[in-house]
Amino acid sequence: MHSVINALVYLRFTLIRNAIVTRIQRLKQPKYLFGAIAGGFYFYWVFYRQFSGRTVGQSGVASNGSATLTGIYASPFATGGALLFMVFILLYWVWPRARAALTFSEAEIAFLFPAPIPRHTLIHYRMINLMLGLLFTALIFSLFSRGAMLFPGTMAMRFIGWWMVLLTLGLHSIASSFVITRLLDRGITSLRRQWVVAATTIAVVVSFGWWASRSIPSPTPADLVDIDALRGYAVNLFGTAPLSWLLFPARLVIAPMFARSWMQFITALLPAILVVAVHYYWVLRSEVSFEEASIIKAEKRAAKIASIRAGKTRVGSGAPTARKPPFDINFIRRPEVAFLWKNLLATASYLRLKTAMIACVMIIFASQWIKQGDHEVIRGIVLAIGGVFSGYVLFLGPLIARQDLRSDLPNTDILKSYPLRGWQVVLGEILTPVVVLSFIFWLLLLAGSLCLHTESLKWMTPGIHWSATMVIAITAPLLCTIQILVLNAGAILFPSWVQLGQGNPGGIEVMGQRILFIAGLMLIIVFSLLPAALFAVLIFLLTKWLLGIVMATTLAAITVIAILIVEIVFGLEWLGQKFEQFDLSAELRS
Amino acid sequence: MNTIIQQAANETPSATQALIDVQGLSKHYDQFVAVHDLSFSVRPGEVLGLVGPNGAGKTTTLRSISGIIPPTAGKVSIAGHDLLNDPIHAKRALAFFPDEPRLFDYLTVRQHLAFVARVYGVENHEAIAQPLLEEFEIAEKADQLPGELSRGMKQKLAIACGMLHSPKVMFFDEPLTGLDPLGIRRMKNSILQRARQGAAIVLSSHLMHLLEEVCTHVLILKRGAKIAEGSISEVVAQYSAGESDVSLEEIFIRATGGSEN
Repeated sequence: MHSVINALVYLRFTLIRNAIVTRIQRLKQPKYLFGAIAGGFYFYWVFYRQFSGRTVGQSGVASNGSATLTGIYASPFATGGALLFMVFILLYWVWPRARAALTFSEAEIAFLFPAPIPRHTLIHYRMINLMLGLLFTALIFSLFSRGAMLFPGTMAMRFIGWWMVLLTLGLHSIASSFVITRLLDRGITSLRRQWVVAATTIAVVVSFGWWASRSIPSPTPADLVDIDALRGYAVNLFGTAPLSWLLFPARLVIAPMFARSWMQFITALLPAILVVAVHYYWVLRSEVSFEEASIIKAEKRAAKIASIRAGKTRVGSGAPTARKPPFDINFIRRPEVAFLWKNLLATASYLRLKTAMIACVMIIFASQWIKQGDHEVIRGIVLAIGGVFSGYVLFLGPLIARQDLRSDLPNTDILKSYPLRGWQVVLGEILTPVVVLSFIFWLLLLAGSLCLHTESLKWMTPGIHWSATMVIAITAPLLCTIQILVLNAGAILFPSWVQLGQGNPGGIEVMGQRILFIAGLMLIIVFSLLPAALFAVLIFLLTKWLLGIVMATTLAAITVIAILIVEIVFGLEWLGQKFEQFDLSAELRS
Repeated sequence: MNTIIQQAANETPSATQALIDVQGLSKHYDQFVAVHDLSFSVRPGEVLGLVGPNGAGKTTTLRSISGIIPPTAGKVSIAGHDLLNDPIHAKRALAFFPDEPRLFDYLTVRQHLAFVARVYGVENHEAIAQPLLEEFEIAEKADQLPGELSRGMKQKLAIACGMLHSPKVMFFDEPLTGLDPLGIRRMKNSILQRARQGAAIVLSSHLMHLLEEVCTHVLILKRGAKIAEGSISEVVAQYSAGESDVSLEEIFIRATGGSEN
């Protein structure tokens, strides 16, 4: 028995030590070193703000003080946190779940499951792993959850507080899955369990609410006058029995996070540890078979990791489904359009020309309705939302819409074996995000343009209005194209900075790499747009006095469009050459 | 008739000329030499087996001669077209089949073929695709996505895509990986059939029985350099030291010294 525990401790210790050594060793590579420096600066900045931004007096933390927990329970944030915690706990029981499975890696299953290791030792091993893993999560959470009003304690208090919360949730998840598995073994289906839990919850909440309504008066207008008054009423409501009983277990767990003094923290920590210990004992004593489901879970996890390492990072884990082609591939006989066809198939099925046409018709009718009636408020809302979203589509869209080389890099071998020039592959690949983002932008522009109150702007004649709309409509896809070209250039020139290579992808240095990479790309995008902007301003200033504002603006717009087109043509040619020279095998060796 | 295939056929050298001609091919990764000064040629109807221990440079060679990665030095000619100076015409004549089938997640079997047909400019591809689907027994899966196919089915789809433009030159990297016995038999038959039709084929494999059954020639690589080349009987004669009935496996072990290094 002792030797088994020794072996497991050795395994965990060696894995952690080797992971740290590997991380340190790879700092010899400049890309990781620079990444580590950038990531280190980022963390330093976060810590710096933690420790230098607030003094003890400001944060309200005292070395001594009241040990009573009443102050915490009276905090509206702690009450909200306890409510949220209870919702999570409830979800564990209501949410449809598969049979109980503990998270083991495939290697752990291969080595530990057939080994002469007692079952409860395996559970101990898994739970200790869980505790260690959650330490890092708690650290991250404690770094990003700050604010004297919300969390009055120190960083250490928040860290331990978060750890207690995460541990309880993690252990409750395992324990509840064990209970659910036992219920399934006894013939109680998931649906039946969900109904019973939901009905019981509703019955308890309704009866406790009814009881509370008899002991606490309904809110008066004074209670609803502002958010502070409402908050005070809610705290009072949940602080009064019997509703307070419902939240009591949750309050015990979350209390350390909201402690104001070390005395209060220690007083709050002891019950929280007790809750964790009870959960630990509960899991350990559960006599439920978890091995088979754990193996399936490990296989799925391994497949997912392999998929991510292959660059197939798809948001949403749902399996892809066969889709109707977006258009007839024989309609335009260019290979570049075939890439558009292929990549559109990988996008959401509503991102189609038909949807755009329907949306266009709806926008035209809706804008006519807005213009004809007295709907100034709606008009304002449409313009505001349209403006915000079009900016979002234009400048954040290229980062999000990645159905181009960024997602097709794992298929480089096949793409490069096609009888196409590099620029043709690059053009074909970037067409999908450009087309999708352009259509969305055009729809937003149409809505904004139709809803614009041109009557109140005397200088905006219909000619100016629609000319400006046309210029924006032409310029936007070009701006998108430039950005997407730069982002794809990043993928080709620095593939190991964009996609996951063969090493372990985590760590401060990888985070730093991402920060550096995105910052660098943003800088390049700004520089690539500068010539067009500078020339446009120059042309406008030079011709304004001679030709008037309208002609000067038109000339400036034409200049912008011409420069962007030239940049795109050169960019495609250059990136095409880089793609032809691109050698993924060399990148993966470094 | 597909104009591009016709064009490729018109430009194809005569039967005696090599469809694949590699001269002085080298590929370096900084100080590491993956392939060193490799020369060989493959004529129509020949199947060259590329063998060697792990890390010998087989995949790097195949990738270099199919235009996927740029060689550090050397010349590669595919169906009379210089791969470096005229990659488009050279690539129209070749097909590369990686060891792992690389497919697009969201394209069904039929959509894969439609896409490849457009990329290679294959007219009326349905008429070519249907017999291929039937040959590889994936016609019933035509509207399914790769995720719904078995490993062997995916491999078959990748091969059907590669065959669609009737390539004169084919490169197979470990073609039998992941196939069941029936799939292995069909794959061998497909390779032999294409060779009989005049294709020049290079395949890399660790499986000596595959080489003995399918290949006309063999090239043994070790640490990126050629250590033996010729018809199977020539290579056997070179290393058999006068013994009879020496298996190709034994020849391979003798030629490579029985280790990777």
